[in-house]
Amino acid sequence: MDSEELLDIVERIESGATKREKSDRPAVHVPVDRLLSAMRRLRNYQWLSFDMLVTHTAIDWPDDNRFELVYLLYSTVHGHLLERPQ
Amino acid sequence: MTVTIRTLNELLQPSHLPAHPLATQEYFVNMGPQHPISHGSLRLVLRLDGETVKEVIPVPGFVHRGVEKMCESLTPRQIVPYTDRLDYLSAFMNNWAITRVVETAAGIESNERIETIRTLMSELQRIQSHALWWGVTGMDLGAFTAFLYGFREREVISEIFEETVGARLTMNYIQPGGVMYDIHPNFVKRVKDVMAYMKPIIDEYDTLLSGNVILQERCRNIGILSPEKAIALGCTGPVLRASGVPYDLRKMENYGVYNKVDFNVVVGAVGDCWDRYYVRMQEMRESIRIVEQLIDSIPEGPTMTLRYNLPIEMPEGTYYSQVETARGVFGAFLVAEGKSEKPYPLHFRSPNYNNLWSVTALAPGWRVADIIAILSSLDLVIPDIDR
Amino acid sequence: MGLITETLPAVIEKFPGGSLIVTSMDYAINCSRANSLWPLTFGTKCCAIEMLMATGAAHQDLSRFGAEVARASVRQADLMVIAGAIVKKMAPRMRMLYEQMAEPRYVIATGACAVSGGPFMYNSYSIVRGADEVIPVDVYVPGCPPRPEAFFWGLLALQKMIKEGESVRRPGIRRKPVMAALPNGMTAADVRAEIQRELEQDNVIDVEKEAESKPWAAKVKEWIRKSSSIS
Ligand code: SF4
Repeated sequence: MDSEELLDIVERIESGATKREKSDRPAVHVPVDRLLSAMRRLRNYQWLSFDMLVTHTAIDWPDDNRFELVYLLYSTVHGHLLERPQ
Repeated sequence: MTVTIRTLNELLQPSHLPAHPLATQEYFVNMGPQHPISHGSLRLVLRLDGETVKEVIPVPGFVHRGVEKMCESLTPRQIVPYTDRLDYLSAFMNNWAITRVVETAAGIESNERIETIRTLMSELQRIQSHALWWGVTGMDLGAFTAFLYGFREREVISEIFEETVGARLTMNYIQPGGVMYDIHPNFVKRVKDVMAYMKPIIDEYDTLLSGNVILQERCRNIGILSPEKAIALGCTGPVLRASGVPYDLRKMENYGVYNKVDFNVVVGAVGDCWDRYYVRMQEMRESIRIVEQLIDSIPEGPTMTLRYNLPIEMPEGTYYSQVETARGVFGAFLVAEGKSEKPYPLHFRSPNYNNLWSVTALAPGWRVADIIAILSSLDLVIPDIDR
Repeated sequence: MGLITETLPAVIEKFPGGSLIVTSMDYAINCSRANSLWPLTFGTKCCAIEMLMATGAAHQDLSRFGAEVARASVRQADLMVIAGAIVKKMAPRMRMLYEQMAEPRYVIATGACAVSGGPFMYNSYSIVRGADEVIPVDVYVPGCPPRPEAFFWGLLALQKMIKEGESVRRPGIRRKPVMAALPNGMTAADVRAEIQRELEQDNVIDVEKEAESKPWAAKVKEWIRKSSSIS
């Protein structure tokens, strides 16, 4: 599974998710109210199974007056990595 | 979505008070921050019932220097030496992680020779780090002789590093665009000698400590970490592999020249302290194999593809890269603004931080003395936790 | 016959089949203190590996200087080797550990971090810039990390300090701290040779020869001759 394919799938399962530009890994934006359900699905869908949270951090954008939380998910079953800023 | 945050004060309330004067009462014991087992300053608060551990509350932060914040005012080349000082026993690998993220961001090419040297150095350091860990584990569990043996081999490998790099501990060797210096003319011969010397040494380690009854009794079936739990906690490295998850970035991430060499990923079966012990012993053997395959065929080429005085320009975007250090996945998450050389935020994903929290899942139900075995099988480096 | 020497302020009484040393209490105690330091295992960071672990192992071997019994409890230690950075959260704990140590107590600050904050001196919001902001330091050993040999250099400096100065009755009063940096152009081999020399010197003390070489040897002889003539 290459990164474009992965991105396609993630965008399809989660309404409101948009592709995140300017990232070296496949990444999607998820609005904060959809976060929990999105995370659950990503973990539970067998062909995704992102079971490990590699790290999570935050970026402060003072110009836009917002925080961006970044979750890096990894699947130990399939071996793919996804970055999900939201 | 709600998140409950409990302060340390709240955590330190006993969960039940004795109803009867003869009833047992819970009490708290403070382990650290100055404790010989923690190899640094780590505080653990143990909630005990008699001698049984009910709960472990790690309180990190005694070596927090704010490295990530400091990095925001430094250029990539200046950041590299600071990564040495996180997990100082895997200094090469930490250098490599930040180098990789800068190289992907700035699109810097490296060549075969550079990658081979980087791989060789990292594997040598993995052997060194595991040898040191082996000695210290022996000391923690009551065998001081192991300490002397482990450090004997550490010195041998340190001398190789000293010849090429000029440092024994804080290397600052792997740089964006290449490596700091070319390898010393003696390097190849010395490494070969040392590898020939190390092979029987690992067997000697086995005869010296692995079969020891006390070590076996203190490690076998103590602190069992199930694979699901290990993944959920984000443990990586030998801790995760000992639980039976064959997760090794050297196979998965395709960096360095690991795809050219033949080596096995060592996994454990049970996930107890003994598995964590033995996975590391086998990893030393695998690392020796990797070094032996590479040492004869270091390709020719330049060792630095970038001019030192040129700024490294990173286009706007977020970048993440990770490498497998001796303790697990060390990653660097970098956000570049495209305006200056300096990263906007830089976040380090350090393996020890996640491995530390596995002690909260491992320790309950075991005795106080088992905490020692569990902690030393996790192989924690405290400055990497606190950063 | 008795002898008083400068390096060894002692009187040696010769007996048939042996001799008896009469010396000052201060000297004897200082000498024993200097040669039986018990360091505290207080390592916070990278330097701990080099300073406390590598030196304790066989290759460097701290026990040649009588300081290998590293103790985890402050109550059993009299030398605090600050190996690594001290941050604001740790500083009060370090002060507490220092105050729990029995007097006389000595402090060696090893590594740039403990000397001045080192690599974290600029830009860091949590570092204590030098351990001497919190506790008094006797010997500074710079380096990042210092080589084990450099640490020995610092330890030798401390031992010299203890042997020379500080009376037993006033243990709290100490001399100015010293910077035990290796002189420029000094290599590890030089340090090893120096250590070797020191060790040999310590082991072989020819008291009578030392005394003969002193400028005031004649005066002492005169004094001894007089005192023996009185009795
Ligand atoms: S002086 Fe250098 S080696 Fe020593 S603790 Fe500080 S950063 Fe680490």
